[in-house]
Amino acid sequence: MKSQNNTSRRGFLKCVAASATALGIPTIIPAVVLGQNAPSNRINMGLIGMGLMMGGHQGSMCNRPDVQVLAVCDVDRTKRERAKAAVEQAYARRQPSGSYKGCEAYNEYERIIERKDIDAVFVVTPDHWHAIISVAAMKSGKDVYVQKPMTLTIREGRIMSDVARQYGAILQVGSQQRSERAFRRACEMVRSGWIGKVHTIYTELGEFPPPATLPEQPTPDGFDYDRWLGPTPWYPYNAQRVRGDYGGGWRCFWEYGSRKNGDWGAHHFDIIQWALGMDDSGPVEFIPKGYEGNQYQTHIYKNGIKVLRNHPVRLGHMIQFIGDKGEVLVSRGDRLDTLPVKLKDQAPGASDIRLYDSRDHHENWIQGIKTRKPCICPAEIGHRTATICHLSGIAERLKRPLKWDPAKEEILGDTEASRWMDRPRRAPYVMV
Amino acid sequence: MKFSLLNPMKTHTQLLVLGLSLLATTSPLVGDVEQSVSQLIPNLAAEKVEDRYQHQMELQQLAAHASRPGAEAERLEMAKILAAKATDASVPQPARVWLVRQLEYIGAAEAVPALTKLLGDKDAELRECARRALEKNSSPGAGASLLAALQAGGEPAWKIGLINSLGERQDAAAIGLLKTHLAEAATARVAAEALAKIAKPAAIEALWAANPAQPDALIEAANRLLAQRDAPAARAIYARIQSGKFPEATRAAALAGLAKADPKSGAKLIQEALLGAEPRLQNVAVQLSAPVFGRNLTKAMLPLFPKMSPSVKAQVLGLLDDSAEKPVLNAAKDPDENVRVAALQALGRMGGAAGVPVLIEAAAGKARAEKTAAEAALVQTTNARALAALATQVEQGQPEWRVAAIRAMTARRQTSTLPALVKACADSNLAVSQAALAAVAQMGSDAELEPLARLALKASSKETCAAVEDVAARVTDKAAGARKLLALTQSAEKTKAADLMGALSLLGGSEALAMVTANASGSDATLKEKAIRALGGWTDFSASQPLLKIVADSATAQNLKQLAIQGLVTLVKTSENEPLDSRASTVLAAWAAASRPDEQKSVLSAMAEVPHPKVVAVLTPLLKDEGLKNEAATAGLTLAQGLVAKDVAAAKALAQTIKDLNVSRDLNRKADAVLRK
Repeated sequence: MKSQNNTSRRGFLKCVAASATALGIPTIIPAVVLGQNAPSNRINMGLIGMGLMMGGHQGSMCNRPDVQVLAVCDVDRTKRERAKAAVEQAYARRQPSGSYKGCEAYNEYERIIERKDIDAVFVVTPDHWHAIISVAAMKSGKDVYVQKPMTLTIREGRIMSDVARQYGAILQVGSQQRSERAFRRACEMVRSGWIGKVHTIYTELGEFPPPATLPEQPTPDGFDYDRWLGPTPWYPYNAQRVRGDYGGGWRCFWEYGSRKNGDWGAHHFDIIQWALGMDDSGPVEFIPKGYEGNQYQTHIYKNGIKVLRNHPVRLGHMIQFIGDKGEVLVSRGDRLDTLPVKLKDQAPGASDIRLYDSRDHHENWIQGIKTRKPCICPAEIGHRTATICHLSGIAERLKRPLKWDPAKEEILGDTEASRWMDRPRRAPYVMV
Repeated sequence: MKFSLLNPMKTHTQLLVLGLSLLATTSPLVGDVEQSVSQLIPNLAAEKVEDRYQHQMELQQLAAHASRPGAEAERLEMAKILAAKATDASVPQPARVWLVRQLEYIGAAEAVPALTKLLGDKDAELRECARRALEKNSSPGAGASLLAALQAGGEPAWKIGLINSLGERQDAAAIGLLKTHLAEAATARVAAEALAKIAKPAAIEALWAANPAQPDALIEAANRLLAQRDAPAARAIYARIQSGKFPEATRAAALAGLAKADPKSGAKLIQEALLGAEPRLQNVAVQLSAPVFGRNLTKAMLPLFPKMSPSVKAQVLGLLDDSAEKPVLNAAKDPDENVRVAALQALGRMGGAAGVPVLIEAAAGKARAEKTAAEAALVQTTNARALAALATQVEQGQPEWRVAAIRAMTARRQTSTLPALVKACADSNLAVSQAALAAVAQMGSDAELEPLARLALKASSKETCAAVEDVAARVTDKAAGARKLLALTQSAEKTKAADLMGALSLLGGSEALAMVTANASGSDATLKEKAIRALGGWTDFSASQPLLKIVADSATAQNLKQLAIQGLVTLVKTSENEPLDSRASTVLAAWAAASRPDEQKSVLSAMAEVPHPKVVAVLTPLLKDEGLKNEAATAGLTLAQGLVAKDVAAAKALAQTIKDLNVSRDLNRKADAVLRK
């Protein structure tokens, strides 16, 4: 990254000097003294939502010489203090003195948004906070890495995509399967017609335990529960509601996401969109499991391609594309299988489609910030994928099929279902 | 009713949903609906909180079903019932909350009076639910109720909620009251956003007058105006913000809006922004360039290009068309690495012949980012002249460049280059010949087999022989391929000819088998070993006979015997389509010949794949052999699994014997699975 842009973009020295004075953090030495990864050439980062998923992001960012984590934020005091200590320890190990103090810990995300010396943020909160924080960050001139699914509602996605485009923000959605070789190759094979005309796709998302009504428990000291709930309807505190593990907790509740459709669906539906070349569009019909005996939750594209959720997938794979000339099966861990078998070892030819090649999702975002080039999973793609997650969830809850116009982004012929495309927000946590 | 899975609904709810679907207008069934909702109410407030969920879902499904398309009468009746119960003070609070939550999704004008009443309820949760439901309610009366509530005032959070709802509803009647909230610190931002969503002249006027300024809200208002096709009004807002003293990100947003509202004046501003020093504006300007300049993009960009900052140059390079080839070639030598990389990518996209040498040079270079970009670009290009230039580069020029060109052709799977590549396999430069050999190995087929084999006979290198084998595996006419190789071997020196036996094993055929078998039974130990290896990798089961002879011959050296046994094991394992009797007799012959424990264990692994009674008979006693017990049990269990379809009793007997041995937990589990069949 060239100093001309950086200095201008962040007004670095001026801002740091101002914020350092205001916040009592050490003043950072100018870039010209220290070279390429000197502070003024670094991307100053804020981390928001210090739960389970942030662990990998935090470690990765703290290890990068071109990134400086300046602040962490969580509504749980224990988590944010622990994160602050971990960040400072990571930097202290690189200091000759063995100590470092320069990471602030906030309860309110707004404190990070206000800081002009912070260039970019990770938004790794539960889904219901993604859009509010991301939009505020982008409007304040920050770039954003937001966890998948990008949004809680369809309308939020349209807003986020439009804001990203209009404000020139570099936004990366955490659908990191796009940066895995096997998924990219699978999509290239499908797009290049190696398995002929695709007609059916199976994908395995699994199931969460059902949501529950939960009795009230005392709110733990240091946990800002009202802010955790944020824009969602009020419910009494219960530890199970706010737990962030993979097997349950908040991910099970419709209030905070789209359950497995928003969890694994945000990954696998995303790859399917990529493989079908539908990144700026989407399916036209959503049929819930059980409707007229429908065995599997299904969505259908205009050209008739059907995606069946939780249909058994051969060889224990995550996604199976079935065409009239073969199959492509793909999973994490660089697993790729094909029918005919030899396809998987076949190199792409000159006329075959090559897709955006990202090998590292974090690196891709950081390079996007530096070069201002779009990332592999920008807001529009994240929105289109999340739309599938949300419409699948709405059809499931209404227990009826939905017709969707992906161009106009409207549910067709069902006024009441259309009300589910967005949710009123609990004050004062509104999107501005 | 079309939905067939109603869990976790109870029967009475199922019947009610069925009843609702039959309902035309007001009928006796309305009473049933009311009764069902009444019956659910105590359960919605069950003392044990966990028990409430199922009943919440029942009510939700009733409401959802009533609001389905084409059933307005049912929706109306359900909404009336929900509204009446929600305002009934005798209904417990948790039930009332859930009733109002349903009105959020299905309520219309009929629900407004009840929701208005609830806006003033002493229970904060009910008030909030009513606000949410009114926000979503399509009736104009809902807006009036929210406005009245805001007029009445309250805590800041309550007012924020009401203001936000009025904004979501784009309620112009609220402008006057919303304006007054621009001055309050707690409500200023949300009031500005609400006014922006309303986007009427009075609202915009209020926004311009706001202190502190609300430029992002003005951007939103302008976006709304533009969506309503009021471009002049939108343009006026964008222009004022873009030229004002506002944050860079907001001015960038204004620039984006301006370019949409007024492409002509937007074009000029885009050009200014591209040459400016504000990256956010530059970024948006680059994004806008394509839609604003359209076909004239390259023409508009080129005069500015030399004055652009490196980061802008790198972005703009991605937009230029073929007419910019010359400046792009220059940019490939730019001092900035990002610019050079972007130029190489652009050359790949443009695909002109002049770019090929530049790309080749970068692909052959050591700068990693440029090398990667150039390699990808060389694969991408589709222009015929560029391809011709690339093909020429395979045959001519500096060795490093030729290697880069060969690799590009390989990555492209450009089979038309194979004749040149075969020729290059014999090149005096080692790097060139190795790259060419790798290319032919990856792409070659019938036509390349013979010339490559000739080269192998001449060069006798391991790499060349391996390449011949790769090509042989891909040959479609195996018989013709084998004949060609045999013809070559007849005139070749015997030891060199032996190097082609691996390729012959992949082509097969009786003549090839005879040649290899002859070598296997000859006197030259080196040739014998190569031949036995070839027999072990033979393309079909026919090589089992000569291998059996070798293992049965007491004169065969131990190492060769071991090799032959291994070959038999491979053939047995990979010949599933051969008759079972034939595979059984082969594997048992191999077993008879195997004397050393490692040989025996290897044969046992092949016996596992042959579910034949004779194999079972030989294997069963081995389960008691302490030295072979584990391998025999593992093989035996696989055998039992294979036997299930043919002779379940024999399969179970074998599984039981293995389970009784209690070799391992895993084997016991697998044995149990067989025993359950």
